[in-house]
Amino acid sequence: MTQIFVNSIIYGSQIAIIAIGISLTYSVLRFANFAHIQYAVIGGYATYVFHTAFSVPIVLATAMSMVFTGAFAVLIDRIVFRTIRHVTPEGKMIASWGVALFLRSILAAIFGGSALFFELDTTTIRVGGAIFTTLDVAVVLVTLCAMLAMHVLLRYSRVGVALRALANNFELAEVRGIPSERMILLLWFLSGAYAGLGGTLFAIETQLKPNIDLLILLPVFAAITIGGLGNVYGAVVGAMILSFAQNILISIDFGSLVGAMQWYVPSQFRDAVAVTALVLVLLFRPQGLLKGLGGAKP
Amino acid sequence: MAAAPVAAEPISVGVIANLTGTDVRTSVNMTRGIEMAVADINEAGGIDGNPITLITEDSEYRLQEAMNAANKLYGVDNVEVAIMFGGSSLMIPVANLAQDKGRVLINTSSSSSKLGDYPGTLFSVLPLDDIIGKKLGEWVAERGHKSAAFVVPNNTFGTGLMNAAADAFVASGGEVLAQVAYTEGNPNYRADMQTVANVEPDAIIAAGYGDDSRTIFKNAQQLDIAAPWYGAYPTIFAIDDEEWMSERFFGVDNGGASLKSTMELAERYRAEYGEEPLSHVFYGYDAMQIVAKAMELGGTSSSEIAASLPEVVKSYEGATGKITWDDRGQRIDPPVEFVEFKDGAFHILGTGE
Repeated sequence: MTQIFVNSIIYGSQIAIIAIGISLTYSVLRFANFAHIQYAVIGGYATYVFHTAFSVPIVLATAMSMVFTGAFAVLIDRIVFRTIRHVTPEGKMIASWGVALFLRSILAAIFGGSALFFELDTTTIRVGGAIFTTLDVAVVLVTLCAMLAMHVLLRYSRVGVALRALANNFELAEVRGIPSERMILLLWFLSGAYAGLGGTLFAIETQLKPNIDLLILLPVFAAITIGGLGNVYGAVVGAMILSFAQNILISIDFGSLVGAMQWYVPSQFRDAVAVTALVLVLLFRPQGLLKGLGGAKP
Repeated sequence: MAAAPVAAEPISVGVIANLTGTDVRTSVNMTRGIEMAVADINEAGGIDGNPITLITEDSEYRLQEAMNAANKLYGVDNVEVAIMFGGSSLMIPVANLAQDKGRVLINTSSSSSKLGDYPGTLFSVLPLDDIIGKKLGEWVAERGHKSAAFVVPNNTFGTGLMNAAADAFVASGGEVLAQVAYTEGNPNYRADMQTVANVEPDAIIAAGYGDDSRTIFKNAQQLDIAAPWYGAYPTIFAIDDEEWMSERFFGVDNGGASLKSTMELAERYRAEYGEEPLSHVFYGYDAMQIVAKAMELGGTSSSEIAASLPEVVKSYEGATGKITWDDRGQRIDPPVEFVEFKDGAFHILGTGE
């Protein structure tokens, strides 16, 4: 059980940090940005380039990547999303998918289709029957710090108050003098930076490929749907619920339960859990789990 | 056998290989082996004076692209025979197509036992999984390992090889503790490797290739799994940490590298390409040579090539040694090598047939 708990926390952290950014932009701009996942992949590649090509230490490389990805998200907004601000959410969502496809092609053209790996030294840790690495610990701690920072920003800063005001009532917030366009730029920057961080954490734990967004897309969108679209805290809760459900399913030895050789549900059925959770939430609680349960939009 | 009609033009032979995408290096080695054979054949006068030309198509290691390549070669370029590198999941559909069109396909890389279902269409210059799998299972038991866990990709290659190796291992007194068939293309196989870690096997018997195998090794290292690895065709695995894998990774591979003819070809390869050849060079070379000899013997149409190939291999001794086929055109007595990965390279521990 300890191992399931550890695996769930690690995977949940990787998903949550990416999901936060989508919820953040959705809360104000009211559309699900598919390109956000590709921002995460770009963040992973940016960190890889800074770290391997320019020998920048991994922590600094990650910070630089966050700034780069944040600025990149702002740039895409200026080029694409600002020009279609008046379009329906469905239209913007489709446009974001187009942006994602374009970015994936650019990445493939620059870096090729083969996987890239971060070469980081790790040490194995065994606690209470669970096996994990120092890298896993770092990933979870960084995620916790990033979440805490987001919480402080949203709850205790003027910027956070302004963002929450825009999320609750955009027109009223503008009438009260909140500079909406500047705040939207900040929103994109924050969202992109968190995507860059999430993409880097995912990449250093696994690998980098231009099409790895396809593997991240489903769990991230399942997480924000479970937690409640546009609810930053819901995204984190959704990611953890999903991660625990997935890891429990693939960790049960069903073979031994019936007295046969060990047999586990193949890991590819993790996606089935995500799809099932998506369908159930959309059927029975389309607003997500946290809405009405104390979860507040930013 | 009637003499073949004299071709008025160069004779085209198709090549299908994954030149982009996964596992490119092995494909490129195979293609270079074919090109070296064509150079030798044309230098010796070609087929009755007509040179061989190659039409190479990229399968990108994807089924749809492999089918596109085969359709173009057989349907547009009208080649009578194609030589292919690719996994069984690609080779079998292409063999179906070749059979429908009445053409010939030479397999240089796939090893699913289902490939034997295309007699007269598909001929293999390397052995199928049941042979390599059996040798692998027996060898692991011979080395004193009492229990094993299997880690293979969930496809016809992986599961076919696992079944053959598991049967041989159990027949030799071993116990199979876990069989993990993973889905290809995942960014992480931690859960799969935890299954292996939980059963604490004496040895891990594996099949795999490309980035997936590298991720598998990386996850195994992260989980501190100490058991040695025994791989089928270890040269197609991608190794993550050479130091960690040193003296920990063993395998059974297609052999022949110690033959005199192979060593001469290897030396030529080094001189031309400036790198160490993989065994795929030799299988590509032999595939092209037996096709050319079949054309010389019986003619250049696909039916004539298919009819002549079994006769040709009876007297052919090439880069991978003497080839013996069963009545389906599948190789049954291949040279194999038992190898160990040490200090960044594979070293031969022994050979066998």
